[in-house]
Formats: sequence, C-alpha cells, structure tokens
Amino acid sequence: MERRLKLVLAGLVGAALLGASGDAASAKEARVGVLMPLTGRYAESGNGVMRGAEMIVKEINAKGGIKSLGGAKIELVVADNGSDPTKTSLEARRLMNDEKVAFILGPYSTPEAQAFMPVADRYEVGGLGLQTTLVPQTPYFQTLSIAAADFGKGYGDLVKWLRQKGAKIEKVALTYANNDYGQVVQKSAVESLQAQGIKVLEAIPVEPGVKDMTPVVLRVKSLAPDAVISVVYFQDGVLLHRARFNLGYDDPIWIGGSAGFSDEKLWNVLTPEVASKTLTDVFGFAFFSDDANLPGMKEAVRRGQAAYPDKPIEQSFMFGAQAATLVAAALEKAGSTDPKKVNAAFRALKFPAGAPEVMLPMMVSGISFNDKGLVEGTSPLFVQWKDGKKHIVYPEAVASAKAIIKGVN
Amino acid sequence: MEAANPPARDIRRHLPGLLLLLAAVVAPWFMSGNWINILILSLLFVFLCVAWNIVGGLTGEFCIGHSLFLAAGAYTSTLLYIHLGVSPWIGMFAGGAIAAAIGMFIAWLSFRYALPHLSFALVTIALAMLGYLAISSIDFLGASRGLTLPVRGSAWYYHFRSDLAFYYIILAHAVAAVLLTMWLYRSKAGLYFRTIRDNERAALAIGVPSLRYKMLAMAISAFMTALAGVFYAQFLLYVEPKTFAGLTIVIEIILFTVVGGTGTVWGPVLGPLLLVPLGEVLRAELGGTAPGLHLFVYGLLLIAVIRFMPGGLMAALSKLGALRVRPSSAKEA
Repeated sequence: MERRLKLVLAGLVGAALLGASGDAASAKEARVGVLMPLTGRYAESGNGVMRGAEMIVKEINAKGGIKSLGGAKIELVVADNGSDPTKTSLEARRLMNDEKVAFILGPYSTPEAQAFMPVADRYEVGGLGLQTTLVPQTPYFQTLSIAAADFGKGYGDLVKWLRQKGAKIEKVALTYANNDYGQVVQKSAVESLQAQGIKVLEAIPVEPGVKDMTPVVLRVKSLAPDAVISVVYFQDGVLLHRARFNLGYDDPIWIGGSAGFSDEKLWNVLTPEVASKTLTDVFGFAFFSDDANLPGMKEAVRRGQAAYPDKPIEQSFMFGAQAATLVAAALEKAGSTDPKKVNAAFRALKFPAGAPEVMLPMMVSGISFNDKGLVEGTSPLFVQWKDGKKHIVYPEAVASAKAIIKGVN
Repeated sequence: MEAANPPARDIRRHLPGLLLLLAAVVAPWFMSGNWINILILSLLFVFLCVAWNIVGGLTGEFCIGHSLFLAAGAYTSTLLYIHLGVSPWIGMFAGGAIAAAIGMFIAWLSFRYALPHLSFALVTIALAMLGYLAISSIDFLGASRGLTLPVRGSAWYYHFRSDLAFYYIILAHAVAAVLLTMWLYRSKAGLYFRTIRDNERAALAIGVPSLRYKMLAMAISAFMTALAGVFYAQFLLYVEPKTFAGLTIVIEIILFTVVGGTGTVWGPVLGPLLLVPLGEVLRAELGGTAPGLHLFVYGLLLIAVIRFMPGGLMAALSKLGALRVRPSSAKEA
C-alpha cells in the first residue's frame, strides 16, 4: 500500500515537473503562424515568402531573440493552405485555436484573405496579408500590398508625372483583363485620368485567356491615342507585345502591368529581338525590383543571396523578409505574446523612409498603417527595360535610372 | 417468445449505428479545436454524400450538378442575411426551396424525353459550369472575389463563439439525413427509386411514374445539399464561387460516396468519415514540411482503396462480415 502511494506521489511530482518545464519552455518562445500557399497555384510565391521569413527569423534568433520578452526565440508554425480559401479558414482556426500563435504571417492572396478575415475577427488574432489587394474589413487584418483601386490611381499618377516631364498626353486608351481585378483597376484609372482633364478614348475589355491580341492592338491603333494603359497578366502581356511587334505599332507611350510588363522572365520569353523593340521605352508596373535605391532592401538582398545562393531573390522573398521583420518588431514593441497586444503593436508600427527595416521600394514614405490596415503612402514602381535588365524609373525617390519618355528625350 | 424477439433484433441490427452516434456525441469533449474542425468538415461531407446518394445511389442517376444546389443555399441565405438582415435559420428554407425547384427543373428537362443516363450527367455538368460562370461574373453575388459575412455574434444569426455548436448542428443534420435514407429504403418512394435504378423499363411497365419520382429524388437531394451550403457558409463566414459553385466539391462528394459504397445507407457515411480526416491530417503533418507530399500519399491511398475494394468500403466490410448490410444494398455496392 505504502509502495503504491509512493508511486502515485512520484507520478504526481513528475507530472508537475513536466508541466512546469512546459511553461518555462513556452515563456522562451514566441509562436508566430505562417499561413502560406506551399502547394497549389501560388506555391512558387508561397515558398519564396517562406525563405524570406525564415532568413529574418534565424537572424533575429541568432542575435538573442525578442529582447522585451527576455530573449524569447521566434518559432514559426508553418501551415500550408494549398492556395485555397477554405483551407485557409481551417488552417487559420488551427493556428489560432490549437497552436496558440501570437500573430499570423499570411495569407498570400486576396481570396485567401477574404476567408481569413472573419476567422481573425472571431478569434481576435492578427494577420498580415502579402499580395492581398482588398481593403481589410477587420482590425485584426492588415496588408502589405497596394489596394486594387490604388493600382489604377498609380497609373494615373504616372501619367501626371510624365506630363510634368513634358510628355504630350491628352488622349488615352485602356485595355484591361475583363475580370474583377481588371475591372476595378480600369475604373479607378479612368477616374484618375479624367480628374486630370485627360480624354479617355475607350476602355477595351480583354477576356482572360485570350489567344491573340492583334485585334486589340488594331483597335487601339485606330483610336490613335497619345498613351495606352494595359492591365494584363503575364501571358496576355506576351501576346500584346508580340502583336505590337508584328504590327510595327509603337507610336504611343505604352504603360502596363504588372507581370505582363515587369516579370523577370518576360525579356527571354519574348526573345531579345522582340523585347528590345517593344519593352525598352514602355513603363511596367512592378512591386519590386532589386535595383531600387533603398538601403534596407539592398542589405536584405545581399543577405538573401548569401543565405540562398542557388535561389532567386525576387519579389515574394522580399515580401516574406519584410513581413517577418515587421512581425518581429511588433513582438518587440508589444513585450507580450498576447495576440490582441501583438496586433495592436503591429498596427502602431512606424518606420521612416529609408530606415533599415523598410525593404520594399514601393513603401516610398516608410511604413505606417492607416486605420484600415493599409500601408500609408505606398506608390507602385514603374520600370523600364534595357538589354534584358529592369531599372526603376518612377518614383524618383527610389529610381535607379532616368526615364526614357517618347517625344521628350 | 417469438413476440419478444423482433425488438431485440432491431436493437442488435442498429447497435453499430447507435454506438457510432454515441461516439459522435461524446467525441468532441476529448478533442482539440483542430480535431473538432476536422470532424465538422467530415460530418458536412457525410451530409452532402448522403444527399447525393439519394439521386446518385438510390435512384441511379449520375448527377454532377450538386454544386448548383450548394451555391443556391449558400448564396440565397447569405444575400438575405447581408441585404435584408434575415436570419440564416429562415434563409436556409428559402435556399432549400430554390435548390429543390432547380433540381426538379433539371430532372424534368433531362428525363421527360427519356434521355440516356450519360445525357443527364452532361446536362448537370453543363448547368453547373453555367452557374459557376454566372456567380463568378455577377457583381451583386460578389463575382469572383466572393462575399464576406458580417459577424453579428448571436445564435439567432447562426453565429457561435464555439465551434462545438457548429459540430452539434452538423451532427444533427447528418443523423437526420441518415434516418431519412433509412426511412426511404423502407418507404414506397424508396422502393420506386430503386426500381427505377435497377430497371427503368420494367418500372414503367408496372406503372411506376418514373419522371415524377426522379423529380422527387432530385428535389430531396437538392434541398438537403442547399442546407449544407447554408451551414458551410455560416461556418466559414465567407462564400465564393470556387468553393461553393466549383466542380471540385462535387468530385469530392462523388469520390467519398464511391469509396464508401454507392447506394448503401452507410457507405456515404463511412467514406467521408475516413477520407476527410485522412486528407486533413496528411496536410497538417506534411503540408508545412514537405509541400505536396500529402497530396501524393492521399492519391496513393485512394488508388489502393479503389483497386482493392472496387465495391467500396461497405462491400469489403460486408464480405468480412464486420457489418450487416441490407441484401439490396450489398448487391448494389
């Protein structure tokens, strides 16, 4: 009997010790969820984001972790949402409910964010979207991306700048992908142009998956615009440039984006012969370009190249690095792993333009979030191609080259 | 002595089902939040598979258009809720009625000229695609970006703080669906459904009004699927075309039912109860560390089941004698 009692007591003491050691371990780590598409449509981008985030977390942990949490190490709890909104909702529940994360880095795309927001709202755990172009509808979600409506304004702002530089732009034609994204961008671009007194000749819808852009280019040619804005994806962008090349039509100033004008692969896919004729004086909308004149970005690119010598340091990597830097800063500022406090600290983050924490050149005014959860003062980048290399020409604050403007220089 | 035996036999016959129900009622008390979510998803698919089985299994008409009914339920209740403040508890009946009407129309359109089975499958897939394109394009329906449901935080609006409430709601749905199928097996309507499935010409010859009963099967199945759509929308708090009107979910429903055992009472229960947790566990365990591996393993397991158990799990189990299956069900499975 006495032996049994001793065994029970020993068991209880053991259990208590185990419990105590678990508590001590949890106080030494800050759990951050990473909800990314590691499979499915956005897998390539999701894996790029992962590499960027992991690099930053390793660096922070190696430097002693989160100081305000007594040197707590950041532990990334990774979840794959399969590029699917439903799985995003379920995985977000798991990360918040079971994994007890302090904050979630992700999701990646707009549909994923639509599914994520109600869950974040319900469990009061914050999240940071990357390529999510919606305006957040909950205080528990913020995004690094530019809102879709601001894409159009970005085109309008570039036209305004070109006119200030002496370009004669009085009449503009638009072509746009006829889906939700294209429609929103087209509408806001038209509003921005009309506000400048520019005549919009026609906005031509193009069905996604179009097989030939020749009729579209012929239609644009018949309108004889001073400038054209084309909202295209990668494949229809390639078709557009080929049609322009075949028809020998390069009279107007051509502006467009994003992947169909600025993707790294574009020059080679078009072949240098076509690309040099069609890309050298167009303006391509971009979120990132590694030639930007931004100290935080240059340093992150250098570290990324050292950490992953066999991988490209591209847009999604930089979004991951930027997001992880901000999440770590929020943990430091909150001094707590309570999700509500971390989210509040995240919203209150402020970094001036050019600070080492600012890694994305589109954040020309630094980083601070407005009350909707959008980064204030962002500006899309516009690049021009020369001999297969992209160069940022706008905004001038981060430009690495002077713009070639038809009719001006 | 003989008089006392039938109730005892009944209890023995239903014992596996009753034990399953008891396990389902107490299971969430011992589970983490993630497992409760996996069970919710599994039971949702049980409900969907049982609903599909009424048309696809019991009546033998291969319908690929159930996404239309799911979307009808989800979007009707969501729009009523967002624009008119109507509780989804009421909206679910509106969604169900619309889905049932669509289902009956499709059945009438397909069967009034006695088109072959393949034509019915093609008609339903075409209409499902049409529905998907319409929902993806119409701004009022949220187009391709979908609709996010505002959280009003009360049970009257189908909102619950705890996932346990969602669990018991979908459990009630699934139990009701299984009871309905069991009743259908014994009813005149169920007999007519199976007669049409087994030999439609013979059924017509003995006076079974084939068209009317096919329309009835579609109406019941569509109504139930719409209720599942309402539940799913409230659980996710978000509706969008790919999830609710895409073909992926229909393929999953058919796959789970076929793996469980088409035309049986318990096959559409067993299939999703095994495959949904399996898929979720594989994704949670392997998705973060080895992206894509979970899909590969899941695919291999599915191939193995289909290869070695072509009649579904119910047929395999009945062969083993582990569960008793009704003779007609076993034959079909």
